[in-house]
This record gives sequence, structure tokens and C-alpha cells, in this order.
Amino acid sequence: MSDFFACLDQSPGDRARLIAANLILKSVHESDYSAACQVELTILKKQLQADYGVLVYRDEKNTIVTIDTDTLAVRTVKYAELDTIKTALNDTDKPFGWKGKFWKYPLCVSIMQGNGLVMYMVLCRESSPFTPDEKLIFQKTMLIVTDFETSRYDKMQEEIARQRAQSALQRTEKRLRTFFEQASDFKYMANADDIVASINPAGLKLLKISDRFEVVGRPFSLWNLSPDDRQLIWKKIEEHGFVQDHEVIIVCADKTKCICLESAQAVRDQAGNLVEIHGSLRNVSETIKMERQMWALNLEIVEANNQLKSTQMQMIQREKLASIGQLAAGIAHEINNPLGFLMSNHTMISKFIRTFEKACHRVKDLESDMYASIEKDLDLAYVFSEMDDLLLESSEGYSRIIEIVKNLKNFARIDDSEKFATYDLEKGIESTLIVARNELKYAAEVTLEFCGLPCIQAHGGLINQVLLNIVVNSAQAIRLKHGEAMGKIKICTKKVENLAICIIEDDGIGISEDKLLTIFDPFYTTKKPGEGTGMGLSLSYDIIVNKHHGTLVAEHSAMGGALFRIELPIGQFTAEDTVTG
Amino acid sequence: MSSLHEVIESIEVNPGITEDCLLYIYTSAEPRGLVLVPVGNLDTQSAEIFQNRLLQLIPVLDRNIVFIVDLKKIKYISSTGFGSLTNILIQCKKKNLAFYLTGASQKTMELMDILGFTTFFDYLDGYRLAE
Repeated sequence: MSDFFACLDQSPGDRARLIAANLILKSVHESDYSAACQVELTILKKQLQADYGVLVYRDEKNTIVTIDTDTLAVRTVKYAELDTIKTALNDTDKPFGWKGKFWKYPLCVSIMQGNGLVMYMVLCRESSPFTPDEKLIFQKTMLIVTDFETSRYDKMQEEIARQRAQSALQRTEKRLRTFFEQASDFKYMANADDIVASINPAGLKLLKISDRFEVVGRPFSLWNLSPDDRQLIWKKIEEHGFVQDHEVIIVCADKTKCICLESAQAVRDQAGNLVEIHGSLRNVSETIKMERQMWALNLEIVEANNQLKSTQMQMIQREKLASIGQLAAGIAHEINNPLGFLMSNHTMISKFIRTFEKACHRVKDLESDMYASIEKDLDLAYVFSEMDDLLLESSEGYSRIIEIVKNLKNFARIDDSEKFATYDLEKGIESTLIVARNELKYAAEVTLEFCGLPCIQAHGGLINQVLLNIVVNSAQAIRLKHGEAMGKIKICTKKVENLAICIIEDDGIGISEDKLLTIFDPFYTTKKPGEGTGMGLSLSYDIIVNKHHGTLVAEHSAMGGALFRIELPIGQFTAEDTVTG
Repeated sequence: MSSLHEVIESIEVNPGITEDCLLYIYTSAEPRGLVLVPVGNLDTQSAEIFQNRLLQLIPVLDRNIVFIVDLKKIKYISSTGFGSLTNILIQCKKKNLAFYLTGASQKTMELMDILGFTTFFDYLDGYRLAE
């Protein structure tokens, strides 16, 4: 090597090129970068006859390390040492301190790539400073080496970046694989033809399948209850790129069904073609079961509440009726006693008047002139003619009082001797209409729609009383609305399960919403004082609800007026039962 | 509160519930009632709006009017859809209104059975639309 140098003209440029060539040659033969650096440092120290040399560079792991010519050992550089070198770069007149020693004449150069440090090299002498030629050789050598070193630095950085990226990719893949494999939800991937490409263990568990390949390679729709639902999911994915929380029924391998919420997303290639979908299913069967139980409970609560309201209304009504029943019983009892002797006295007075009348006729036969005079003075002809009417009217009045007392007793159930008998409701309606003919003939046209009800067990007379009451009320309501014009009453019967139903509706004035619940109260009336007792519907309610365990409700009619709905239970009959109507 | 006529008109004017669901309303002569016909998908997105529209009707309905939901044009129905129908049923029961389902396909009935809603409802064989 020395012969080779000797043949050169020894110009600084030539020497620098030669040294650089030698350095690069040595370096490229070294597979170990640190060993190559040791060679570089040693050659340069020798060529420039330095006493000491320090090299700072990045090793294969990108760590900044240092070696010096004393030990040639590689170690991690300290930050303070980097500051020392930076100072030496800026101020070459200062002595260079390294590892506790100070060198009087340092020669320092740096190789940088952007902001990244590639290399620092410091050569030091103790006895004499570096000549300008030596400095020039050093700088030119380093300049020539720079390309080589930066290229190596770039490659190293690229390699490090590649390794980092690969490592990151591996970590990501591992994470995703763990996420996919260990997810508690059913996860799958399917290709554009809906063929399953991958499924996680949770998916296999949900499908109750142990072998992954029973699913992989098959259409996903095999596990859907309805292939239409799968098509709907695909349609949504194709339109929107995803589907979220779409409820599907999955049929497992053992044919059990799971309710799942499916979310899936399209994966497209660069041309925008759908190549794959990634889906996730969550089993919500238990949640839905709980929701369903909650719905069922809500329904039960509503029904119980309705029943409670109805029972409460009935209890209130019964309480009212019981109160009025006690009052009615008392009144009936108190009236009945004086009524008994009044009726008896009335009968006797009638007989006595007949006797007195006969006596007068006898007097008239014996003393006709005298009788004529008395008759004229006292206007006996008028008295006798009016007396019959007065007695008849009184008799009618007593009969009415008896009827009222009887009704009061009936209401109070004082006399409950009447037995249930087989009763034909439709015949009962016809009979009632005959009785009410006078009330109806100038008020309404009656339409009948009978379904042919079977007979029921009932107090026929009481049911007829209810029918009469309602029909007469309808006629009165029609007159209030139509005046002299004719209205309409429609009576229909229905059989629903074990109930005989009679609906009476009219096109009269109807009942306001707030009155629908109070019309069955005792003494409720819309008529003028003296025209009605207000007991009719209350008694009717008692007859239907309490005596026959049926229902009586008032509603608005589609005809514009009121609608009364009577529901009576159809009982069991025996051959001995008497049919009444 | 809106009148029955106004509520019906609002549904008729704007039948769209969501992109995938429409709601049509008719009156039936036998039984006398209102027929609601949802068309398309009754799912998480549409169920709540569908429910709210039907709930608007309940306060203005007369007790004698039967409430019918015809499911014949339903393509897809989820548990949320059945939940909304159940909620409407509950509100009807509170007001003593009769509520019926009709027109459910075999698939819808099977789904309803799997989801456990079958026993909640009363079913109507058919109805005759008013002319």
C-alpha cells in the first residue's frame, strides 16, 4: 500500500481519493458495519498520522454508537458526548475532551442526511496541529465517503422502516386474528357470491358446528330461516355499503332457531366492485325473550286494570243500588201499611156509596116530589154522575201506588219469589213492542234484525220491563230530536259465544259522553219534574247485572242517538222449563 | 287534539314512513273500522314512526270502531315491528278498542311464532272495505 502511495504525486486531492477508495473497498468487504467502521477509523488515523480518533455512527439497529482508536470497542454514545463533538465541529481551536483525556488539536467532520446524523469523525493530535493539506485531505476524503455512507444510511433506514412496517403488520394481523378468533360475537367473511370464506369459533358455536369446513365454502343463506331475508341484507349492502342491526333468524345445525342482529360491511376493490363482505351477528334471543315477557306483563296489567275499573264501576253501582234498595224497602214497607187500610176503606166507601145511591133511589120512588126538590137543591144528579168517575180515578191512583210500591219492593228484592224460567228474548222483544205500541206509533219506525237466539234462563217479566224501559226512552229521545217527524229504532240480536246479546239503538238526541256512566244511577233523569222518576234505567241495570249476571252498557250509536247493549248468559236448560216470552 | 278526519288525512297525504316503508289507511264496512296497511319493511328504522302514527289515531277513535292492521304487504318485519304492534294493542286495550291483525303471510306468522308474539293478538279472517 505504501508503494502505491509513493507512486502518486501526493497532491491532497489524489490522496483523499485514494484514502476514500481504500476506505470504501475495505468497508464493502466487511459484512459487519461496525467492523467496517473500525477499519475506516484505523486507516484514516494512520493516513493522517493522528494520535487518536473517534467515530460516532448508527449501527444496524439505528442506535447511535461510538468507537475510538484506543479500544476499538463499540458502545452507545452519551448525549453529553454528542454535545462535545458538536462543539468541536463549531470551534476547532478548542481542545477536544473524550473519555477523560484532552487532545490539543482536533480535526472534526460530520456526515448528515437531512436532519439525520450519519457519522461524526474526529481525529486528534497532541504534538502538532494538522496542516492545511491534511485538513483538506481529511475533508475531501470524508466528502467522497459521504455518498457511500449516506447511501448506506438510506438503505439502513429503509431496511429499518421495512422491518418496522413488517413488524407492525404482523402485530396488526395478530391483533385482528385474535379479535376475529376470540370475539364473543359470530363473525364471518363471505365473498361476492355469499360463499363463506371464514368464520370464527363464536360463529361455529352459535351454529352448533364443530368443523369449520362445514360452513366455509358454503352459501351463508343456508343458515338463514328465509333466503329472502338474506337477499334483503345483500340489497342493503349493495345500496349503502353496509347493513346495521338487521334482525335475522339463524337456523342452527340442530334446527333450533336463534334471533340475531346482523351488521355487515362491503369490501370493494379499486374499481368499486364488491368483492367481500365482513359480517358480525349478535345473538339477541334472550333479550327478545325478556322483552316479550315484559310485553306480556304489560298486556296483563292493562287487562287487569280494565277489569279492576269495570269491577269498581259495578261495585259503585251496586253500592248505590244497595243504598237505594234499603231506602226503597223502608219506603215500601211504610207505604204498604197505610195503603192496605186506604185500599180497604176505599172499597168499603165504594160499597157504602152504592148503598147510599140505592137508598136515594128508594126515597125517589116513595117521595118523588120531595126527592126532586132535594135533588135539585143539592144537584144530586151531578154528584152521582161524578162520583163514579172520582171513585174510578181513586181506584186507578191506588193501583198506581201499588205498582210503584211493588216496583220498589222488587228493586229492593223484598219479594224474590219469582223463579227463573226458560225465556225467549226475541219473543220478549216482540211482546214489549206490542205493549209499547202507543208510545212508538207516532215516534219511530222499528227495524228488527233477529239472529234466532236460543232460549235463556231469566225472569221474563223483568227482562221485558227492561226492554220496555229502553224502548220507551228511545221513543222519547226521538221526539226530542225530530219533533213530529218519525225517527228510527233498530233492535238486533246476536249470539257471541255463550252470550245472548240484544242491541237497541236509535237516532234520537243521544247521550253525552259525560252522562254515559251516570245514566244508570238512581233518580237520574233528563225529563221534567213529575214526568219521570229516574228509576227506570237504574232498575234495568239491577235486573240485568245483579239479577241475571249480565251486562248493560250505554254507548253512542252510529245512527246518531243512543245504543243500549244487553248481554245475558245463555244457561243450561231442562225439558221441564217453561218457555215464556 | 286533531280530529279523526285530520289524522286520517295526514296519513293519506304522507304515506311514507321510511325509504322502505309506507302506510296506507282505509275504512272498512264490515267490521266497521279503520284498516291500516303497512307496505314494505317494518324494522328498527320504521317501527317507531309507524307506531307513533297509529297511536295518533287511538285517542280520536270511537269505541265502536274496530282497529285493523293488515299485514299482507309486509315484506320484512322484525321483533321491533311486532313490539310496535304490541304497544298499539296495549293502547287500544286501555281505551277498550278492538284491535285485530289480518293478512299475515305464512312467513310472517312463522316469524311471529318464533318471536313469541302470536298469543298477544286477535286475528280477523278478512274485512270488507267501505265503498
